[in-house]
Amino acid sequence: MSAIRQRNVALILARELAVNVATPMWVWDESGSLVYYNDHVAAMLGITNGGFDISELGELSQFSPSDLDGTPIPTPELPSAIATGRREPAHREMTILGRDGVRRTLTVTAFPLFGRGGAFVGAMSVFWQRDGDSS
Amino acid sequence: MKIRIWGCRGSLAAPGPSTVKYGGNTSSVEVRLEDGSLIVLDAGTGIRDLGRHIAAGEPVKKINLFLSHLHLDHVEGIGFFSALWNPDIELHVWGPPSPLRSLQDRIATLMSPPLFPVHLADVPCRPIYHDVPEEEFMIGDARIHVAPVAHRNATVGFRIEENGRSFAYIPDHEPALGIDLERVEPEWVSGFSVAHGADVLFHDSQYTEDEYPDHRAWGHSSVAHTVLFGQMTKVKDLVLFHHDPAHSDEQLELHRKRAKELWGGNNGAPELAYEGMEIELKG
Ligand SMILES: [Zn+2]
Ligand SMILES: [Zn+2]
Repeated sequence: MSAIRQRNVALILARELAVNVATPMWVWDESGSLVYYNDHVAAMLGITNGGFDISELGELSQFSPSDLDGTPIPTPELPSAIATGRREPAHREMTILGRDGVRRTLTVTAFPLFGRGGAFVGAMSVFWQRDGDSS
Repeated sequence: MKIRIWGCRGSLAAPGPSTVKYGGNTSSVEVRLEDGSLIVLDAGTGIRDLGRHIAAGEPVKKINLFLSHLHLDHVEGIGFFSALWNPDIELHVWGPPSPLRSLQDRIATLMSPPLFPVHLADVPCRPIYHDVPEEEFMIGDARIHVAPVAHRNATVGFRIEENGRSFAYIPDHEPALGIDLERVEPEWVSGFSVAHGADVLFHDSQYTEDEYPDHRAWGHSSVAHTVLFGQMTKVKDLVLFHHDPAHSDEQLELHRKRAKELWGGNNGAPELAYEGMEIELKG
C-alpha cells in the first residue's frame, strides 16, 4: 500500500484554495515542484492557451524577473525559491516579461506550508499585479 | 482480523427509542488481530461497554488505542474505559501529532477538573503516548498506515492490513470540501491512501445531500460524497458511519436506500454501521 501516492491534506487544501479564488496563486510541493497554478496566474504570465503544461512552466525565472530598477533577480532569490528552499516567507516587488511579450509589475508573497504535525509539505505564492502593460 | 462496533454515532451520544437499532454511543471500534492483539479505534462513549467486555473476557495485557482526532465525541469515553483503571494493562494511546502540545497534554485537558473529577496523572494505568508516525508501523502482524485527512482540527484516518486483508477507518471526513471528487486525480483526494482498495471502509456519512449545503466545511460528508469516495477508492464494502445524532433509525434506513441507489451493482454495499456489528476479514 505504500506505493499509493498521497498528497498531504494541507497541500490538498492549499491547492483547493488556489482553485477557488480569483487571486493569482500557485502551489509547490515539498520537493520544490510546481503542482498547481490557477488561471489568474496564467493570465498574469501572459499564457493564453489553456492547455499549458505545468512541467514547462517551472519557475518565474523563465519570465525574466527583475527588480523595479531593471536588475535581474537571481533564481534563488525569487520568493517561491526562498519559501520552498529555505522554508521561509518572502515578499518582493518585481517585473516579469510575459509569454505575450508584455512586461508587468507584480508583488509576490510566498510562504511555506507545514502540515499539522509540523512537517514541511510545500509552499504557496500569491501575486498582485500592479499594472497592466508597462513596457 | 475481527472488527466490532461499540459506537458509531457522530458528534454527540444520542440514546433513546428512535436510535435503538443503530445505537446512540459515539465512535469506538474493536479490532482483534489474528494473534489476539487488540486495537481500539477511538474512545467515544461506546468504549465504556467495550471496556466491560474486555474486563469480562480473557485477560488482556496490552491494548493499542488509536485516536482519529481529539473531538469530544471520539475521546469522551476514555475516563470510563476499564483499561485506564487497570494497572496490569499496558495501554498505548496513538493520536495525531501537534507541534504545539503533546498528545498527553491534550488528553490531560479533558481528563482534569472541572471537566473530569480525576487527573490523568492519577489513574492507575500509565498510558504510553505516541504521535502517529508518517511511515507505516506494525502492531503484531498488522501493518498500520495513517494519513492526515480533511476535517476540522488535526485528524487522521487509519488503515489496518493483516494477511492481505485491509480495514480502513475514516470516521470524520470531508474529502469533497472545495473539490470535485469526480474530476480530481486520486493523489489529490484526502484519505485516498488510507481507503484505496480496502476490503472494508468505515466512513463518515453524517448528512443527507439536502443537509450538506448548510453544513459545508463542518468536516463531514453527505451520503453521496461517501458513496463517491468509496467508489473512487475502489473499496469492496462501504459502511456508513458517524450517524448524525438528529437522525432516527428510520431516517438512517432512507440514507442506506439512497446510498445503495448511488452505489449501483448487486454486492449489497453500502451498509449502515450499528452497535454490535461484527465483520471478520480472513486472510
Ligand atoms: Zn466525530
Ligand atoms: Zn470530529
